[in-house]
Amino acid sequence: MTQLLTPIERVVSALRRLPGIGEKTATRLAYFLLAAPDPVASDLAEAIVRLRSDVVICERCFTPSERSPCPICTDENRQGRQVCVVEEPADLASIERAGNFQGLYHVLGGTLSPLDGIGPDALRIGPLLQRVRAGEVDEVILATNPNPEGEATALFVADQLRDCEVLVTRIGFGMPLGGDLEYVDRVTVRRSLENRRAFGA
Amino acid sequence: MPEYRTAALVLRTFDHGESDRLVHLYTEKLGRVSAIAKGARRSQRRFPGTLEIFSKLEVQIVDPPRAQLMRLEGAVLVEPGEPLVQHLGRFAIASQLLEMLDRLTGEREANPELFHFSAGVLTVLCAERPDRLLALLVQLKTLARLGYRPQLVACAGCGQPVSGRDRVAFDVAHGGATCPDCASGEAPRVPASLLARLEVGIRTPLRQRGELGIPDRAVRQAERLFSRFVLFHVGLELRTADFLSQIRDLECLDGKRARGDTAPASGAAPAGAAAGSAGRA
Ligand SMILES: [Zn+2]
Ligand SMILES: [Zn+2]
Repeated sequence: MTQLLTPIERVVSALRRLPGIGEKTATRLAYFLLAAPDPVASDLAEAIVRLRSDVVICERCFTPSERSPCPICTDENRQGRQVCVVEEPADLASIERAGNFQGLYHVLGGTLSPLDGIGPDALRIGPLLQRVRAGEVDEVILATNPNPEGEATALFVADQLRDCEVLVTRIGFGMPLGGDLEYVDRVTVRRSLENRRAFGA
Repeated sequence: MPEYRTAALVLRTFDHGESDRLVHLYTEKLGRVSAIAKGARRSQRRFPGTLEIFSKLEVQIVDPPRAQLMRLEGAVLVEPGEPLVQHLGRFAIASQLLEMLDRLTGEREANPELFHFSAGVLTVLCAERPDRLLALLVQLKTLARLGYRPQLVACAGCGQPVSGRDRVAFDVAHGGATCPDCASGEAPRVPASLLARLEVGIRTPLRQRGELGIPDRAVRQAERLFSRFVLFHVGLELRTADFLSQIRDLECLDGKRARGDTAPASGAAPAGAAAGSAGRA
């Protein structure tokens, strides 16, 4: 078991620790890096090292950024009184890519997951409550994922905000683009009907 | 290759490799199994909306020879667990049940009665306003079915009835209520009537728990007794126990107030309107 790994095996085993990467992909990537023209591998290695040394966590929204507060939190063109609550930084990035949200964010850093022993005290909720209680926020948009853990987390955040003067909304659920009614589960179909809107609105 | 069709509850799910999910199921015919759902992460059509915790499914499982894991071939949603996430108390109680099925049952030890009991508890939870007594009784009923039934009306040491007494010792190491001869010195004394009512509670449908006449103060006392009982006899700390106690502290299990009772979506403006205002702002 403890024999020395070859350099290729070391890269494969390191890549395999990344989410969504299996043995096959890891091996393909390792051979790609081996054969790639000169700056490709060294650029990647340096970028990874700098990722850990140059990135800080934004003190307001808790997303990783090159400075704190981050460029989103300090952007004066954004609608500062709307805060979108997401589970992870990757969710923030996904909403930013969509391009139609102009408010600010709060990253919870996870979801309630009792089966993993993750309870309310493991979520980053205090700073969000502070922002709301300080009167900085008109609307909190709960954008946790529509799975049981994400739903329970949305419920928990809403419950924590119940005594605050703030509008709490939940992102809409419905038919996925390119979806097919025949293949969509019935909870999604039901919610699509509940969340319908006037045509052309 | 052996193929099974059975009812199943989804206990846990994990991402597995690049496109699959590993699913822990408690099935009617096979007991607890782990199965790979091929392509479940990649394709929306393969297992649409089914592989989430609390879901009750009809599944088709194959057991390929020499393969380590069974393979989930198909799944039809019979009862979604959605109502369980509309209240944090329900979510906490249902999660504890899943954890007990996931960690306290043997792999492929079929126990259809335990399956029907568990599916029934989830169905009841979907419609109940959860309170601390409900959480306690679900735990006790489940423990009893898993073989960890506490002694509540007869001495765990010598078997003589203790329910006629005023207060009895609750000796965790012995397995529950103990008479004065069998009790160890440090075991806490509790009202015999409380233990007797819990014994009735184990056999009473959850919906009728209000008729047991167990006051809130006694429920809290029993919670402490049985958290030590579980630790001692089950030999592990349930991950959901701490969650449940945090939810209790948030008063989501006080039964009187409707805290956390409304899903945010149904309480606030319709989602379409919310999205519209976001666009205008
Ligand atoms: Zn920020
Ligand atoms: Zn005795």
